[in-house]
Amino acid sequence: MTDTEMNTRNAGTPPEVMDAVMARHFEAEAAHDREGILATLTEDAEHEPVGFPGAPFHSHDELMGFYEVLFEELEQIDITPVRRLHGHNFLVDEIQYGGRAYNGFMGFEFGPDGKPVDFRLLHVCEFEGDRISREQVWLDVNAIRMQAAVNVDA
Amino acid sequence: MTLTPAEMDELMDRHFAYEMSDDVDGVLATLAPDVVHDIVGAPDGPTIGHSGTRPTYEQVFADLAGDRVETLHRYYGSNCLTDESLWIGRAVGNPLGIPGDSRPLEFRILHVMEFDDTGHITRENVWLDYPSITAQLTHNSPDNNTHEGHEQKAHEQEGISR
Repeated sequence: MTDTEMNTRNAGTPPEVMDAVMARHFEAEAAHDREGILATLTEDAEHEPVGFPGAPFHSHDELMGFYEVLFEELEQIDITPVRRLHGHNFLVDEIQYGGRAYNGFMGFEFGPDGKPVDFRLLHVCEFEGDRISREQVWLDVNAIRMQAAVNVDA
Repeated sequence: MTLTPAEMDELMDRHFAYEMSDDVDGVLATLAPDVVHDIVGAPDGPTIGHSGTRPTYEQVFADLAGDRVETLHRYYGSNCLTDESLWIGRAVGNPLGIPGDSRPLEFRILHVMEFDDTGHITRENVWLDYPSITAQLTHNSPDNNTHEGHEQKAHEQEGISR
């Protein structure tokens, strides 16, 4: 076991503050606002979209590059909250992501015109004050794979 | 009375130990009778209760032979726990619809668990590092089968095996 923790270092970030940060984070992602996204993260935040080449990312410079690629391959249309659990300085958030994927998103071929995608997405986020210090993202890659294989644009 | 972190740890460790020994009855004993068992990406979606979940574990144990699980991160909430672990073992069946050929396999797995006050799991939500699994099963084929061939087989089976 390399890191088992309860995050008991301080009084903790209240759930409503974590919720507000996540809302700003999601809004910035939807707007492809990379500066806005980075403003929700600590300078040394670890960001890991599980399964993405090059992940995890450990600096804002690395993240700028990641989001540049991501925004070329994925366009958000809507997200639906599914479930959120709060703990001491962390939250676990599941959403249903609806959007459009292009080119080689997640290693699958969606083509330059893209295809609609709809998949489950989980964030595990740690907080320091009002910023995210660790963001890990898990995707339903099997759903994405199957939607890439659909030939007719629904 | 909510569970303490130590009690959640004990329950998770017991749950994983049963999984490592392919003990379906033991695993089910850690689950509440009305458990929601949700492996993300499973073609049939979540299962409910012991009778609904038993076939899931039987299939998982037919596909994967676990040697050990190493905990990487664990987060505790009120009667909930999120565990990121590294699963290490062999692909003995057809995990994710891809022939395993008994190849060694290791991948990260995330469990989001919720508990009742009696020390049983009421919701088990499992996320897999799918790209890592498919990469290991399609790029290290002992019989030199092609990536495309395995992908085709996976497509034919319409999703992952559970």
